[in-house]
Amino acid sequence: MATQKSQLPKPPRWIHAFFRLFCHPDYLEDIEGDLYERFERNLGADGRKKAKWRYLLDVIQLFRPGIIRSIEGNYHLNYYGMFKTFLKSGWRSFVKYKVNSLINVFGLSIGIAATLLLYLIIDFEQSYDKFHAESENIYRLADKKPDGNLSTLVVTPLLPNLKKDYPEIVAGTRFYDSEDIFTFGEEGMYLSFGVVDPDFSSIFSFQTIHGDLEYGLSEPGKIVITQEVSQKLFNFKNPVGEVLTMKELEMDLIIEAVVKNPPSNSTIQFDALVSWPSSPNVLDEDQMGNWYNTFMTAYVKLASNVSSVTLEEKTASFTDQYYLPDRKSNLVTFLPLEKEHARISQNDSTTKVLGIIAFAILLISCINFINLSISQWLTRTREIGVRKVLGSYKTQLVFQFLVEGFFTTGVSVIFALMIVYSILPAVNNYYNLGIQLDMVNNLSSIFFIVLVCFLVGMISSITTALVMANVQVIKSLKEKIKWSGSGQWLQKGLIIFQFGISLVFIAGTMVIWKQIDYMKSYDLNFKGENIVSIFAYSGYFKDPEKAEQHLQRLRESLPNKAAIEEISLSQNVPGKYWDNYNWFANLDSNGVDGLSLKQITVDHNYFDLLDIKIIHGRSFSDSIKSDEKRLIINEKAMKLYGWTDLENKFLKPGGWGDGAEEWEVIGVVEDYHYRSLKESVEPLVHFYSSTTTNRLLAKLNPTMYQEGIQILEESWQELGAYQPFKYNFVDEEFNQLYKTHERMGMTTMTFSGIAVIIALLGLFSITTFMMRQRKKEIGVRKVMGATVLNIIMLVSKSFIMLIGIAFLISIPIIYFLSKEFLAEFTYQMELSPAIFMLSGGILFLLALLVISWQSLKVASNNPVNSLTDE
Amino acid sequence: MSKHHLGEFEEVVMLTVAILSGKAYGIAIIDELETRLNRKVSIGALQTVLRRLEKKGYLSSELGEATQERGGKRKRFFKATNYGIQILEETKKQRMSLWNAIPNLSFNS
Repeated sequence: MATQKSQLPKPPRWIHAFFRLFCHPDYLEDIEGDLYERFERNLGADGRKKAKWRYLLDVIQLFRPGIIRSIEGNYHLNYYGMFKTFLKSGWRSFVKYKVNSLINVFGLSIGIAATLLLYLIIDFEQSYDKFHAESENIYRLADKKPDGNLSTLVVTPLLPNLKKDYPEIVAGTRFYDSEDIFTFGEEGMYLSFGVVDPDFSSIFSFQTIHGDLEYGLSEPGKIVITQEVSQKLFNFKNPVGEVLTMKELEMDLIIEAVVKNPPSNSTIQFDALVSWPSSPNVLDEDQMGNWYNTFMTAYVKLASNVSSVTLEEKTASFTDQYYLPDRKSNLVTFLPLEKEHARISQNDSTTKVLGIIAFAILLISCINFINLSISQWLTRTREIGVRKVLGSYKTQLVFQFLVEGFFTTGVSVIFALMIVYSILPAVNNYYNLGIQLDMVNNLSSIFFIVLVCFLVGMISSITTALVMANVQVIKSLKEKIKWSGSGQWLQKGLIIFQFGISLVFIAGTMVIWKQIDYMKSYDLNFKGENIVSIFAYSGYFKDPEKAEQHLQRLRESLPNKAAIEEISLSQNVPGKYWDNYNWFANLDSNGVDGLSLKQITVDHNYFDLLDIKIIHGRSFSDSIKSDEKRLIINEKAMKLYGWTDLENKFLKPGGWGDGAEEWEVIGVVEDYHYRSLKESVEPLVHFYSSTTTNRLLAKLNPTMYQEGIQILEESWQELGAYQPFKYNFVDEEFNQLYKTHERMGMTTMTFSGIAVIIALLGLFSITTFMMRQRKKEIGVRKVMGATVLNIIMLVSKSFIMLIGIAFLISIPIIYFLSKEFLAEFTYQMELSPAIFMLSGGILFLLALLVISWQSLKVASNNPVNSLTDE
Repeated sequence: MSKHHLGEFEEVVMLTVAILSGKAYGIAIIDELETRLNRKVSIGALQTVLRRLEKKGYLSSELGEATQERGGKRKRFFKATNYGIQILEETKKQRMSLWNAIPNLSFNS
């Protein structure tokens, strides 16, 4: 019998397997039976082949929605219900403690928003120059002095010779940053342009819109403009082939290509590019562009397997062969372009600080979240107890905490995104950034958001869960659980931590502002008040020669008016000095052979107008014609040359050819600060020229400066300029040098504020919960005769202790960080204990305010209310 | 009442289940439909309707004993619930009221 059965054909196995695969498990057995029964019957009636076909047909007809198993599986039905009650009870407790819940969400969302914003800023700062293909192989050339000082300004012949001698350099371009008026027909535009080598197009990846960039840079008489310039001058027409005239040099240039504007995260910025072959002749190697005069930048691309460090070591022989005597021990160094922005802007420390702040704020909001969640859960211990009695597993309870935690986090993240979205434009504006938050380009940011959300939710909920899920059932049902045990210690620790961070923030902000204040009020050894500076670059004027003469006449005529005391024409003004320097040989037998000096050209009124003291010799005079061949140096230069007096002291500028003879030094000025106080005063030389007109300085009569400015504006109109009248006060302009630090101060201030607010919100919330729990106790105390003040003292005591501990812990941290910050400055303020005391005092007062606000409410309550209510 | 609406096939299946009183399982129902109504029904179509009716509460089911037949698989026997019977009767009543409302004339014409 059994053997006979096994010989019977069976339904095709694969069809059977397919059926088992899709069929709902609850229906499987009996339908399988039906199928088999039918198959057997068909086998008897129609034969094997037909039966198999029928079987297949039946199975196919069973493949329909009512029969197919559901995708999610079938065993989690119970969990839906649980999930629902989690959300429901979560929502109920949210609504019951509205204020606390809102504080929780609010605190978390500003925390996340602040972090996100800082992340975006940091991310943008780090994205600089990474858009070039092979950006990791692009370097900027710099001169490295033996003492480690860097100068990114190099001499004209450096790059061509380097390229010739070192095959490791794949491509290289000089970049001489210049400015001029360009005219097209009647229209004139002031453009900043780079004079570059043809390799420019192969090193950098600026996108070409029209024309051919490579060709445009390879031949003389060509120019490349940016899209913005093209739109302004030619609307939206393709300008390739049009001719622009460079005003000052009277040069006609044919537009060969249009490139996209350099993005805001590019170190190299320009309105136009002019090829080296068509450069002004000052750049020719045999004229000014020699091994002496240092005024341009250069970029190279190295082969990808070349290390910039080894190449730098190799250049020792190069500098030894080509460089000037005092520069022979210099090295040519290669600065990675990707890191240039951080180096130039000195934003590295700012970025680091921002990163720390971001992390700290996130931490504070996390802590707040944990603290508040624990407080909130303490009022729900009965719920936990009941759940446990009814058979809830510990894991299920933890899951409940997670669900609620993620719910709150999710809402906060949405709020945070809205906040970031709405203030991003203002932030961009303030920091001069071009951050865009869109979902296509910012994948990393989105990933970050998700990660933050996940982490915050996870960490906070797990911590809460670990504390709360251990609640003992009987205890939780019988009595109210007090703020005690491990939860209390955790909360106390978190409060200390939170306030410690807040203290560091407050003190840090104070240190930054005080340092800025210190620099602003520092005696710069010149006086910039009431002095107006006007940029009168000759290229500004329709007829430069006439304007120059006119300006010189103004120097004589304007001081006749009561509103203007003195006029000076100079190349530049403190705070705006160029970084160019030259070699000056010492012809005196004493002292060093020579020095590289920073240089500036001034007129005879300059020192008097700026109140710069002459400590040796005399100032320039317009009545002595030969002063045009004389020099005034600063104290530092005199010291470095090793001179004690000015008798027969002559200097010889390097690289000026035969025209340069000996220049007599006739005066020494006190070291005035012509650059930011971050740097010390470097040796400086002043040339005299009565015809320099780059900048007009006017000392105004402080009582009539409105009139003074009006007079200046009228005079400006007579000059016939392309540009409208624009002026700055010299002292204000100098303070602009501290703008980045002011920004940093503003930033830390804002975010410290946020951190403190979050911390205080947390404190507020915790006191609320605590007071609610101690309502009865306080009622009894009042009945027994305690005063309101007694009760406030009682409640505040523990918190004040915590803040005291936080204060003690934060002092060394503040001290260390402040030292670190101040190390950046040559001129530092002194760290006084007042800063610590003040920041501690502020926080202390704020905390006391928050605590007593809450406790006052409870303490002034009639004890009858709290004692009768059960 | 419109909420409890039986489709034509649903009604037929329910009636067949009622006819088979206690012995109604997949193949038996199909056989019954074939002999009585000369109507071919696929297992898929029938099973879908059976499960739907069960979910609505018109039918109940339980698994029978395992036997040597059918590859050892148990049968699932369906039974009309009281509620199902009530619905059937209501459906019948509705039909009858419709029939009764037809004037005799229409048959003649």
